[in-house]
Amino acid sequence: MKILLAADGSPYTKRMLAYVAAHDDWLGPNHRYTVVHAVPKIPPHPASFLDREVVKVYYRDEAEKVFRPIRVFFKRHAIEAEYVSPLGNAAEEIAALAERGTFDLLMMGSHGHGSVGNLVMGSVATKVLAGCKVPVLLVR
Amino acid sequence: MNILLAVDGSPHTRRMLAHVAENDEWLGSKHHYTVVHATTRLRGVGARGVDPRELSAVYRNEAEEVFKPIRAVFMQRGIAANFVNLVGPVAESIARRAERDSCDLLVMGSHGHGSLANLVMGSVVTKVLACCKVPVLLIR
Repeated sequence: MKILLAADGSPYTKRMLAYVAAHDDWLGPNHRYTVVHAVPKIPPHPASFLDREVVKVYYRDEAEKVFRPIRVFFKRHAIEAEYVSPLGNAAEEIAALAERGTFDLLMMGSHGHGSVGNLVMGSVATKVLAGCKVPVLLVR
Repeated sequence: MNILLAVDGSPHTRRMLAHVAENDEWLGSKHHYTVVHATTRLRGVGARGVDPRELSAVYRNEAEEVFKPIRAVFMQRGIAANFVNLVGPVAESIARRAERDSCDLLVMGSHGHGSLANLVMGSVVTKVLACCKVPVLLIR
């Protein structure tokens, strides 16, 4: 299966990885993983005061902070994964990528990916569900 | 994996089954399946004067109606599955069962399982998500 894994470095992402690790079915060679983390854009005004190179490095570092433990995780399980870090709103970017990439499954933590709390599901998970037709696996 | 399929005979359940059947990884014999249908207990005026035995026959028939096409799909593929009909509050019954069987995955359609429509997810799905810690795969 082509699986899109939405990560944001929160404890919910860790729990999702723990779930994947605990079930061999998710770690088979028949799966292809793409890890996505959306980095919030710096508003244009403050960004205009910064060197373009500085902004680029900042975005890369922000994504890498989230990706680093996941890279280690997939390496340990000898699974190749692609890493993408679009800029912008997490829900929109994740949903758009899920639709565009013809993924069979979108896996995400039920919370995280945003600062606004929600009882049952995070705001990003809710919006992603509203925004795409791909089956979504919510790990709690 | 121990997989619980929550079904209700709505088009969403049909779509869910179609998806599961399409992806070999889901309907493999290496998984253990439980197909669950929950019926709300008939109370008040509706249940007054009805023989309890007759009532349980009504519940059983209703469930069988839902199970029939699903049994066929499983039989066709030579995969064993448990069919369970629960009587009680729909979401809570499904969630409790999933926890009790320590399921690795709960699969359900994003809607159906209740009469109240909801933009993103059905009300039962929301409640199931709130009630149990089992990862939920939502098929739209």
